[in-house]
Amino acid sequence: MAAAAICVEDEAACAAAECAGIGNLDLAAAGAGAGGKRSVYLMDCAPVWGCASTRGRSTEMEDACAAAPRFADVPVRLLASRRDLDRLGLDADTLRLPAHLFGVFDGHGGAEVASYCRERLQVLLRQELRLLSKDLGETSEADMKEHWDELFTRCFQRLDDEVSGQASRLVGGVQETRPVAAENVGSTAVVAVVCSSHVVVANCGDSRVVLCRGKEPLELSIDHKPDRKDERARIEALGGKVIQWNGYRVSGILAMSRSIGMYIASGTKSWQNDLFPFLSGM
Amino acid sequence: MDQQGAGGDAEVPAGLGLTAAEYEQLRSTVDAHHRYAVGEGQCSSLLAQRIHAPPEAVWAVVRRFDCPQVYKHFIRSCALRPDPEAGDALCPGRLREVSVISGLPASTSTERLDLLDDAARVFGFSITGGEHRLRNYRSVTTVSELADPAICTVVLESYVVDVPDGNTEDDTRLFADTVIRLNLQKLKSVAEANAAEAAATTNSVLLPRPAE
Repeated sequence: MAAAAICVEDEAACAAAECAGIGNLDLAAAGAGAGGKRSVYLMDCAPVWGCASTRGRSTEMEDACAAAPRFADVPVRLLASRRDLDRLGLDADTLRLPAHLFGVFDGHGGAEVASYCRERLQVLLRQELRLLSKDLGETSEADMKEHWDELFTRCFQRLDDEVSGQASRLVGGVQETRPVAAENVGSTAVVAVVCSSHVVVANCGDSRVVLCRGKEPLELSIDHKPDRKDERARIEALGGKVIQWNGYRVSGILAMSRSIGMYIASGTKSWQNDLFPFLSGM
Repeated sequence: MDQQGAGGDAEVPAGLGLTAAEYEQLRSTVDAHHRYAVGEGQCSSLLAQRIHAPPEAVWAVVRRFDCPQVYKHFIRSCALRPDPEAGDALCPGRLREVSVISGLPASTSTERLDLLDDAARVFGFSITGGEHRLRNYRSVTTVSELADPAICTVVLESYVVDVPDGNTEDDTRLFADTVIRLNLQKLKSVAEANAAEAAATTNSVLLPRPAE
């Protein structure tokens, strides 16, 4: 499988991250279950990735992309129900899948926020995944999505708070509370967590994740554009307005409806990531 | 057509955020500097910002035609166009080239200094070129002192501009007012911070030296 991310705002700027699954069956574990059945949860998923970016029409490069192979282990209970795991003879409580992180951060107004997100998001996500293992109990499929949703929301919220100076961050071993950048600098954030059984995508802004399998591209994220019906309704409920001014923009200024940082133009810091777990066809 | 109507007892313009008493003190300034002959296909607007800082401190920031990024958002850089006759002087006719940060519906703006009256604290500029959608934009900013009920400074900024094809007057006013309102809020922050810093310096100088 491959995950490719395109920055919509700079057509020519792109980052490609690919991850190829390689069979590495653990016979002992699989053998305990149905006779000889291969389990997607025990497949190895070696990261094979590449990245390319260009500033496109911009005068400066303000994009950042992150590739963090094996950045964390994901508790298998976030990916499958206990019943399914038991049926496969897998240990639902201890099995963790190696995961890789790929992200694209398209800065606007400057590169500071995008660069900060590139380094910081994986740290926050790793912390959240570590904490989560103690908290899974009986998890249904709906609960799994909720856990991912909450997990990414906390990470994105923390990122945004640190960027704006509302939460402290460690800089050179010292707690820093000044904003990462001026209030008119911001960034998109679209990330994909890839493991052998799933690709989990979270998005804030108008960058994009596309899955290419064989020859068919499949969109895994939905852009936060101001003219998206639900986004426009949310903006207007908060007292904002969307007009067409070189494309649809909040108050004619910002071309995306959600952003890390850049809170000046939207007038409000309300945001929420979209979460799209996608089961690979392996 | 004069948007504000003829003289006489005009009420405080809606959304300005000033009391009737405050507006009364500013009426002559509004009449002198913030009236426009708004033609067909154009729109105009007036915004106000109270600032708790001496008017001269506010004016010192507003008048910097060469350095608008001190109080304006969205500016990546600004360069005065060289003028052999004027040298470094800021006088009407002077041009500046503004480049805008990424992500916005504009990239550059060429702007002309129209008015710089230090005695009356009146500043005016117009946009003469660049890549943006504001055609025939002309703006005036005034810095006034109010004495009642409490001493404070009020900055008024007004403009007239063409309504772009495909947009309404409301669209145009929303865009321009949003940018100006954000800039005026930043002007307030900058001027009040400068005033606080100046006051601290003055106090430390005036404090009696400890006896030795």
